Amino acid sequence: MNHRIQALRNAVLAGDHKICRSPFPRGKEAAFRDPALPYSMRTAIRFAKICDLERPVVAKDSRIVLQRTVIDVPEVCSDEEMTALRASYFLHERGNVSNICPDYAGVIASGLDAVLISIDGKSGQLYDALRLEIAALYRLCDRYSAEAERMGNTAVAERLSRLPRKGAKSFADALQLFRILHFSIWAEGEYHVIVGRLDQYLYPYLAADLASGVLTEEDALELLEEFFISFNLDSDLYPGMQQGDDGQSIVLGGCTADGEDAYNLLSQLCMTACGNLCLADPKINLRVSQNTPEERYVEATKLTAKGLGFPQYSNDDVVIPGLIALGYDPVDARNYTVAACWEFIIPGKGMEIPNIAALFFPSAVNRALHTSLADTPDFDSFLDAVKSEITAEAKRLTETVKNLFILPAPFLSMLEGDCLQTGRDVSLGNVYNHYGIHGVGLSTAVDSLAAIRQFVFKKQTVSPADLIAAIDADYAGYTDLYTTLRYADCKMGNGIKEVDGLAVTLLKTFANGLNGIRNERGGIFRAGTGSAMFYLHSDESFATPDGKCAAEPYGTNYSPGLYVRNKGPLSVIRSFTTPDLTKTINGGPLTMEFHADSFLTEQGIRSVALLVKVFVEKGGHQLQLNAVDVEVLKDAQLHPENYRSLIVRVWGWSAYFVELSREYQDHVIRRQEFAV
Amino acid sequence: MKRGTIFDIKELGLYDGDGIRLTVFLKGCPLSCVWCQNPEGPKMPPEVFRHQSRCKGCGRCKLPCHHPDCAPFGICLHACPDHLVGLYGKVYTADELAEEINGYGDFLAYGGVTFSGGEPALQSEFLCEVARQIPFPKAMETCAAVPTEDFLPLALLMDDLFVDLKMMDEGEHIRYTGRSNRQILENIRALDAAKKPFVIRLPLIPGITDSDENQAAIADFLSEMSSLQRVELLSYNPFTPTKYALIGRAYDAPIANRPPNIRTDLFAERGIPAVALRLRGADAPHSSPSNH
Repeated sequence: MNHRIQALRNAVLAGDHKICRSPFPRGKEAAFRDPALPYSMRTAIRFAKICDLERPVVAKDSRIVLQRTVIDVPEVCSDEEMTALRASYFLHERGNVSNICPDYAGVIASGLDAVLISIDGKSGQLYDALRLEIAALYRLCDRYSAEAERMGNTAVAERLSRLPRKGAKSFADALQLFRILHFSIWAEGEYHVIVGRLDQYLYPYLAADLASGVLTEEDALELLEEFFISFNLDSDLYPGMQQGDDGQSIVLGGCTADGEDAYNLLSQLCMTACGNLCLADPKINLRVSQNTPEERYVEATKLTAKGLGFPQYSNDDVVIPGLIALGYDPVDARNYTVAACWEFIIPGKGMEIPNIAALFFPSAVNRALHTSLADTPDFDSFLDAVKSEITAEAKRLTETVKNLFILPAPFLSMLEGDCLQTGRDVSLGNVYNHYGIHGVGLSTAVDSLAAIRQFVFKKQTVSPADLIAAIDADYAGYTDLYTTLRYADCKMGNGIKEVDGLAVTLLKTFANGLNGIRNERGGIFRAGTGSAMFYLHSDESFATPDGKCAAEPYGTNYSPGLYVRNKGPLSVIRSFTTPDLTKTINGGPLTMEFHADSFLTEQGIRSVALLVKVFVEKGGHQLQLNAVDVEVLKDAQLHPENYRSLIVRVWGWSAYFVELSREYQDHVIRRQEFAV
Repeated sequence: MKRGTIFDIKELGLYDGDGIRLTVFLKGCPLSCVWCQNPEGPKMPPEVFRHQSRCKGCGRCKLPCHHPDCAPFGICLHACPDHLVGLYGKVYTADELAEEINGYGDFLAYGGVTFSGGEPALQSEFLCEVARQIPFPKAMETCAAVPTEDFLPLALLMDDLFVDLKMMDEGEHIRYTGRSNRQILENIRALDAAKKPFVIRLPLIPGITDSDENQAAIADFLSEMSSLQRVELLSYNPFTPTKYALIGRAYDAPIANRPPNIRTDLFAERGIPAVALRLRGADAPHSSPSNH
C-alpha cells in the first residue's frame, strides 16, 4: 500500500468523505410518487432525481471516482401505499430486489450506448424507464467529468465522459465502470447488490493491460486498492440488518465453465489488496476444492489472521454437485457466487430469494417433546415424531410465501438474464426463481435429541414428565437436571458418530420436506444451514433439552451450540462434515473462532490452513474462521455465558477464556492492546 | 499389553511440530521444574482436580458413593452437579491409545501426533507399543531425563524430536528441576551418536535459565553435535498459575520480573542455527514495557 492509498484509506476510515453529503430534499418525492405512473417509471424518475442531486466529488489525484452524496433513497410509494401493498401481497423484507448478483461483464465491455441502440424504437415500461435512467446517469457522469476537468484531473475527466457510453478499454476503465454500475443499482433502490466473480469478469482487462505494458502488477494493485476503498464510501448508507450487512461480497477462485481452476493473478491481487487495506468491504469468499493447493490456503489464512472474518470458504466439490442435483445447469452451477451472507446464487440468472424463510429445528423438537415424548416407547419413535414436525413445518413455510410482489428494478434488469430482449423486469422472474429456507439451530436440536436419547431412553435417569416440566419452567427449580443436560458430552462438535448421525437425519428430513414443492414462480425451495439473524432474534426462544435456557441464543449458522465445550477444532470439523451437505446447499457456514494469537507464527498459520484443507476434503460445504479480537474478549468478561466456547490457546495448551482467572483474562486483553 | 497414563489429548497444538498436530500428554515426569507449565504432569497416578472458583459448596462430592473409580480418591467424581470435579489422568492400553490417535487419521495425514507431557519417555515401553501402530508422522517433546535404554528406542521411533535442555550447570539444574542433568546430556550425546536428528528447546525462564553464561554453555555443549537441527529459544509464558489452583497447589517460581534475555547470537557464533520463538503470552510484559 503506497502513501496515496494509505491516505485515502485513512480518510475513509475517518469519514472525511461524508462532509459532502446531504439528505434527499423533503417534498421532492412527489415527482415519483404519482400513483398514475407504473412503478418502473417511478423508480426511473427517482433515480434521475438522485443523479441530478448528486454532487460530483473528484480529487486531483483520484483514479476511481463516484460516491453517494444524497444520503437517502426515499421509497417510490407513500407509507399508505406501502401498507396497502403489504396488505395485498407478500413483500420480502423491504420489497425491493435484493441479494442478487448482476452480470456486469456485458455492459462493462460495450457501454450503455450499445444498450440504448439495442432497445431503440422498442416500447414498454422497462425500456422507457431505462432510457430515462441512462440519460440521467450520463448527465451525472458528464458533471463528474467537468468537475475532474476543473480539478485538473484530465484522466478522470476523459474517462467519465467516454466510459459510460462506450465501455471499458482498460483495467482502470473496467473498475470505474463497475463502480458506476454498482452505484447505480444501489441508487435505484435495490440492496445487497453482490459483486460476484470479479476476478473472472475483469481478468481479461488486467491481462491485456499487463501484456501491452499499460500497467505493471504494482499499478494494478494500486488501482485495485483504490477501487476496494470505494466500497467503503457509501456502505453506511446501504440498508441492511446491521451496519456492514451490505452484501458487497466478492467470490474469488473456483472453476471455469469447463471445470478448470479459475484462480488467476487478479484473484491473487484481490487477496493482497484486502490484506493490505484491512477494511470491512469488500468481503471475500474463496471458492476451493480438493485440488486447491496448500499455498492458497496459507495465503487465505493470513487474511483470516487479520481478524476481518474473511475469507469465507465454499467447497466447489459439494456446492456444484448440490446445485446440479437441484436442477441448475452445470455451466451455471460452476459459475455460482455467494450472496450477501452465504447463499449460493448464479450471477445474472437469478431472481432467487435465498433467505425467504427460516425453519427452526429446535422448535420441531420442542413440539414433538410436548406432543409425543410421554407416549413414545423408544427413541426412534420420538425421532419419527420430530421428523414429522420438520416435514410439516417445511411444507407450512412454503405456503407462507405466496402472492409475492417485488418492486421493479429497470437498471438492474439491464444486467440480468434476457430482460433487455424481452422487456420484462427482473423483479418478475429470471432463469432461476428458487427460494431458500434457512435451517436455524441445528446443533441445539441435535444436542437436545442426543440428550433425550441418552437420559430419557438409554439411561432412563430422566422421566419425560420431568424433562417437559423443566423445559416449561426454563429450568427454574431443576438445577441438577439442567447441569446434567448442559454438561453432557453428547453434543454435536465432539465427533461422536451417533450424535452427528442425528444431524444427518434432521438435515435430510428438512431437504426431503421441501423436495418436489414448487413456488408460484415455478422455482423450487432450497434447504440451507444458515441462521441469518434468527439465532439471536426470534420469537421461538424457549429452553431446550440440551440444557440451553430460553434467553440464550443459538449457535450461529451451522456451528456448535454456543455454550458447548467441544473437544477441539478437529472434532468440530469431524462432526460438521458428517452430513451430506449437497442436499442442503442453500448455504450457511460452519463458523469457528480462533484466538488471534493462534496466527502469530508461520507454523500456526499453516496448521489452520491445513485444517481448512481437511474440512474441504472431508466434504464440508462452507467455512468461516474468526481471529477473535479484544472487543470480543472484553464482552466475554461482561457476558461470559455467551462465550463458553471461546478458546484461548497458550503455548501447548488451550483454555476456555471464561474459565480463566480474571487476572489471566486481563493479561490477555492487555496483550491485545499492545498488539500491532 | 502395556498400560499408560494420559492426562490430556489436545487437538491442533500450534507449537508441537509441523502441520495439524494432535498432542498427547503423558502423565508423570522425573523432573520438577519450578516453572512447569503443566502441574498436572509430574505425578504419574491420576489426580483429582476441582474448579474451586465455581464451586457452590453443596458438599455432594463428599458424600459416600459406591463408584469403584472414586474409591482411591475419597471424593465422588460423578456427584458434582456443575461437573467441577474430575480426574487428570486416564489409563489406556497401547491399543486403545493407538486407536484413538489413528481415529484422527484424516487430519494426521497433514501433520501428525506429538507426544508431550509430563515426560513421555517415562512410559517408554508403553509408548513404543503405541508408536509402532501409528502410520502417521510422530514427534516427541521430551526432557530426556530417563535412562538411555528407555529413551533411545522410543526416540528412534519418532520422526521429530524436541529435546529440552534447560541448564548446563549441574548444581543449578538440581536446584531448579530437582535432578542432575547428567542423564539428559548423555541422552543427547546418544542421539547424536545414533545420527538421529533432533531439535533442542531451551525455555528462557527470566532469572533462571536465560543468563548469558547458561546460553553460551549450552551452545558450547551443542557445537560438536552433527545431528542437531536447530535450537529453539522459547520465550516463557507467565500464565501458569491458574492450572496450579485446580489441583490445590501453590505456584511460587522465583521468576524474574522482566522479559527473557534472548541470545540467539551465542548459538549463531558457534555455527548453530537458533530461532527465538515468542510463543503466546511471551510478549505480555510482567510489569511495564520499559523494562526492555
